[in-house]
Amino acid sequence: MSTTTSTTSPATRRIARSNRQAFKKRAKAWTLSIILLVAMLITNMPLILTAINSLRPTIDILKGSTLFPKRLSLDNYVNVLQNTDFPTWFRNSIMIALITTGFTLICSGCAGYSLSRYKTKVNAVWSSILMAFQLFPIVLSVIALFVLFRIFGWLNTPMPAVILYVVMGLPFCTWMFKGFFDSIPRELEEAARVDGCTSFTAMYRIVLPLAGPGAAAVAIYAFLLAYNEYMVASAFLSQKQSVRTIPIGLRFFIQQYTTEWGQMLAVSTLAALPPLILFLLVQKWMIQGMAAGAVKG
Amino acid sequence: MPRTIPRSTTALDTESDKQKRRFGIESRRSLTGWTFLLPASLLILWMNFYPMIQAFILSLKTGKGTRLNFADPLWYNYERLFHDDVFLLTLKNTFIYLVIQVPIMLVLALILATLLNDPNLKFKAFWRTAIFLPCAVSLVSYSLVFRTMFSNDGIVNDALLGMHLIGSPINWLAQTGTARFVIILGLVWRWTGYNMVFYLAALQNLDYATFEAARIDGAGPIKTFFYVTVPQLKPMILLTAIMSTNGTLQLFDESWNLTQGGPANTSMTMSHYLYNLSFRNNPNFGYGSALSYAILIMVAILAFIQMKVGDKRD
Repeated sequence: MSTTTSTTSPATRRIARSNRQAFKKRAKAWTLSIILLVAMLITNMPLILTAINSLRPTIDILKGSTLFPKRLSLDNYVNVLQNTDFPTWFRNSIMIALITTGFTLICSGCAGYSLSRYKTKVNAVWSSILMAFQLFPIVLSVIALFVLFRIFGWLNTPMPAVILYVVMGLPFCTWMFKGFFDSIPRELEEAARVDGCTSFTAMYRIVLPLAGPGAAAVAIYAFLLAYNEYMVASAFLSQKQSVRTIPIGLRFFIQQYTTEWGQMLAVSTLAALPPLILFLLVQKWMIQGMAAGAVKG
Repeated sequence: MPRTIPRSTTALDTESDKQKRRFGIESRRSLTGWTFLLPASLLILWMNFYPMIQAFILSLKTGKGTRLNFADPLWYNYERLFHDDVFLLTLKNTFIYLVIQVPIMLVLALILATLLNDPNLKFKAFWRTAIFLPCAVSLVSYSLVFRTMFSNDGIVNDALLGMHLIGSPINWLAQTGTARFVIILGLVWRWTGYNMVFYLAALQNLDYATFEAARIDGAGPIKTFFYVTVPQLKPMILLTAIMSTNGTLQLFDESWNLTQGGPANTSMTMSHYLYNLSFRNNPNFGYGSALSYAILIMVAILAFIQMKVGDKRD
């Protein structure tokens, strides 16, 4: 047998070697996948447990959580949608997150454009101030602004939350936008300017469409920040039932109905859906966006 | 609002001629630049500068609720911080979290990002989303699940009992050490994916040729990681380290939702204490503001040190 292999033609040997390499590559990919699968199972265990157990009747849940339920029912979801204020919280959360995202896109888009295209001294100073405010403890704002917003009569309205979320996301989003704009050639706008666009229209008609992926990344960042934020919401939005967001509502629900495990888990599962879908849709752009914005920033 | 000059003006237009003379082309350009910065600047002035000054004035005052007077020695609130046992305890807790959690999390994130960046890997979108997911989930939901998992008859105790690692169930959230452990675990769990996205972004910007060269020179995956990947990612590692340090110093969510600061404040963070001071029972805005300044100063000092250290290793 060994003599036959040693006497095979070079072509056959080459094929055997490339087969071996392909096999090695595939084996490597498989090992990697298995490692990642384990990592994924560990990281997502709390979520998997939540989702699975939310499908079990509360009596079963009280006996302990499990990965392999015997009985499944949608009762918890029906209860949550009919008997709790979850729809209100959900609407509030989505509204606040969407408005925040809109304002963040406008403010950080303009600022990022300015930092990318107009390299003046003021802009350099401004950019380092912005970097410093990335580290700004938001609690510090909350106390002083609590006094101010009480005068305005804005407590228990979505206004303070929206404004604060925009400010919280502003430094990072501006960086991301700046990185994206830096990667778009200036000549395109200059051509537009020659053709008679003002600088604003040039930005709006030429640069913005090209910065689409960057905008998507910024949008999901701003959305997630506003959707999940807890402290600002609990300072400004917790007293009135009708303005509570999901985290605040859920927190009150947990305190009030300590035994309704099924419903709590159902709320948690439902609350996790929008971010999951959003991230899945734009994850590629998000990573590109961070690459362009954060690395060079 | 600075005035922008309409593009349609002609040379005969004297009004615009005057303006052109007053602002040269350069300053006209920078005016447009400032206009773009305006919305963001106004927001920052209003939401960052104003509260900063306001909080500083507040931090010099004492009193309950809205009836505030300037303190007798003006720095009374700051002096009080040094004698406040709860503050010193929360300071210690926060630094324990910082020192243990940030390095573990960053190393894990870096390893995961390297694995995910492998060109042979299939279904990248799925893996990325799966690892990122914890950070996209509301912390109230996750604290709920964590509390169930670590309860007396929770899945963690069951598993440990099943493997005969412990004799009787551990009351995780009621003991100082284990409560801190749960918080650290929660932090690592939630933020590793977030930092991984940053590393992944940076990895995709690297020149693949450097890895090829390392492979040809006979470096294995581990050597490549330490001598090729890590040095090239240094700016990103610095950025994530500063962000995580900052996040940990301002940590509120985990302490508030997972353990409520208990047992006996031994897992409480500074921000949680600050929140209690300012918004629970007897709000003391003056003292709270002094505490928030203390946090701001610590954040600034640590960020400065990290930047200096990061620069030196070049």
